[in-house]
Amino acid sequence: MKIRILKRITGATSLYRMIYCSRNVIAEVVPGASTAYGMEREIQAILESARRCNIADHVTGALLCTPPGFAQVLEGPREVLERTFERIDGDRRHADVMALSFTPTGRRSFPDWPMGFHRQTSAEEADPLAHLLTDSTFAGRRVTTGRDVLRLLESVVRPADDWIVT
Amino acid sequence: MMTCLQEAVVPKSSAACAPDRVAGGPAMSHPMRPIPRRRAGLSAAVANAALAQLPLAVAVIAADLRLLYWNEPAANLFGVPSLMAADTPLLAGTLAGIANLTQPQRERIIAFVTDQIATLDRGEPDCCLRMLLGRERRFVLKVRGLGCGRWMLLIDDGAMTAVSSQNGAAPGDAWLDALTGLSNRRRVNEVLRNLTTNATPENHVAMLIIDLDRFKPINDTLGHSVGDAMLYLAAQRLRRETRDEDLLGRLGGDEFVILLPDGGHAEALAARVVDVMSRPFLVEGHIATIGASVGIARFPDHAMSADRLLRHADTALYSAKRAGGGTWRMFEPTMAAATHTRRALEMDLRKALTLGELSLVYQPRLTIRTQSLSGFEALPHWNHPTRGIVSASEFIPVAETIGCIAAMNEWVLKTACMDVAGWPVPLPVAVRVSARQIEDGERLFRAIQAALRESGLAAVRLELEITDRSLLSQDEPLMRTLRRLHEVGVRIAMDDFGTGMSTTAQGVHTLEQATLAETSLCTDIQGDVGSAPVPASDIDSLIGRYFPKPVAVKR
Repeated sequence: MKIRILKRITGATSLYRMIYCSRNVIAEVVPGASTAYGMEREIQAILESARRCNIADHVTGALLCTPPGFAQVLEGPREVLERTFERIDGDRRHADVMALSFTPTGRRSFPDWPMGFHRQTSAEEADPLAHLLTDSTFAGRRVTTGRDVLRLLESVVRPADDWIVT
Repeated sequence: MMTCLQEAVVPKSSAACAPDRVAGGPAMSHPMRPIPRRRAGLSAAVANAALAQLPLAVAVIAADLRLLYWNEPAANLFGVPSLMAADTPLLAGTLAGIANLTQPQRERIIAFVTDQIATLDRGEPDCCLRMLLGRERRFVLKVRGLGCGRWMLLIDDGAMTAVSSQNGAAPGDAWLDALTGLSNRRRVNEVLRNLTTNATPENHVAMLIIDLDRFKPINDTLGHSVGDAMLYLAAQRLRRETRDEDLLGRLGGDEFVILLPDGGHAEALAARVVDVMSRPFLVEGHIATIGASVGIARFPDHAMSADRLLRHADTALYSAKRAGGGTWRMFEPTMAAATHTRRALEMDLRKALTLGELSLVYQPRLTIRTQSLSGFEALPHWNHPTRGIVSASEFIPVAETIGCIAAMNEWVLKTACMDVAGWPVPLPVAVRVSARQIEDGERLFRAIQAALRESGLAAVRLELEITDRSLLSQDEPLMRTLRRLHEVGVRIAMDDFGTGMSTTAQGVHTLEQATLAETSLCTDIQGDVGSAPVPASDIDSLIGRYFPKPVAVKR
């Protein structure tokens, strides 16, 4: 199901895109989240609150969740993104937050989603964020820049990833 | 004050006697909550007039934060004309018209209004936003839902309540930091004094002093408005980490304080503060990364008085800073001893600068291939009457903290240029300056110009060796100063050339490439292989060893 943002974005502020990645520490800080069920419940909670806030703020974007970490793209008016990120940044459920880019943009990459989502749980699949998040020397990382993360998210987040609960 | 705000929105019966003046515009065409008009009734025109005459700024907004209606006090407050039927200005733009309202405050208002619109829709209780306009005026904002996607902003800007506050009922303003809305230093001192003087033996108080790391470069490179917005965001992060019973204040600059009246969880809080401050900030379109250092002291364990507690927390903070920042330290008595030693050194250094105890020594540089003398590096040298020789690595950091490094650099530049200009061979002299030491690029430029002019030394014979080059960024005024110096002929050497390249842009490459060939790095050596540094008085004999025949002096 798609939720289309019908409200026209009004106002003088320009459209910005913000991209970050971070390490998932849910299992360490949320009691009971070390189980697969607990983790699932927590991630659903994150998504639902992100979706609720983003609809109200006219923010769109996408979130990739892999076993070790998160990568997220947020799009919206600059001031709103600054405020939104301030809320996300301090969340104890992630750490080592790395802001990869924060730039004006002419168009939204995820215009239809308050928060597109892709979850990679399979251990067999290569983890695109593993290097970035675990290798402190940054040697050989595959996802290196905001642009790479954006491309990655555009390729993995599909309309079929229907997580939205109404 | 909010009570009177709430009451004031219901037009009083006397309003019906007000002149039948209509504010005009589209107000009534919008589905506002119907103004009470039961049996007695009010015509739309009279109701409109009543709204217009309220001694309170009233504005009606839609979900996109555009103003649909505003009354006369609101027009006066925003500095805009009374209603223009065709125009529905954005709240953000309108706020810019309020005198003394800072950018962070405007953003705070927008954030508050947006948040209130969302929470009111969910049926959550409303609340009000208070802030200071400049030093005197207090600004109180409340949002009320009118239904049908309309909300009313009620703003009391203090102009109406000036009389009541003259009675001394509201001491708030004098206690608040205007930028962040936190308690100010005065308030912190007051609370601390109360806590410590009224303490029973069981009372334990913990004090955390928080200093932001790398805040100054943000202020310098992105400007003060970004710096202020940054301080505001930092204050908000701290606010989220503290409880109602804790006192959170700003001591000034980028220094904050948290008082924990029960003394508990100070270490955990300090660790969390270090963590949240190390996370990136998005501020005014920039990504900014700072950090924080925290010092903790406990009452009565470490100190029995408010003054001492503050001083000990400061000592612990200093220790955290010395460890490189981004960390916290609990006060230990040994830190106080180290501080005492350092204070003594600071006093001696001040005296030394006044009494002229400092001198320059010159470290010869040799060309690797030919082992010939290629120049000198001027090094400050301190021979203290009782301490003996104090190494530069020991006293230069002290000079930085006591704020005399710029004067010391100027003295080194001037003395070196004077000395070298009189030597029998036209060799260059290098003066080492840390990027961190240079607060004012223009002052450095003028000092170098003056040193060259007074000594008559050719600019090409002076080499400025910049250390901690990683602290430089492309836009910095210092970088511009270096480029100007390079243009007038002074050689610029970056002693950690090759690092931090990812942060520099095209122009710097060119400068670096131009200077790389000239730096002594690749071709020259100094130190152990060459000779020990010598005072200016011994230069003649040293030069004589390398240049047996006299050489014509070229200045």
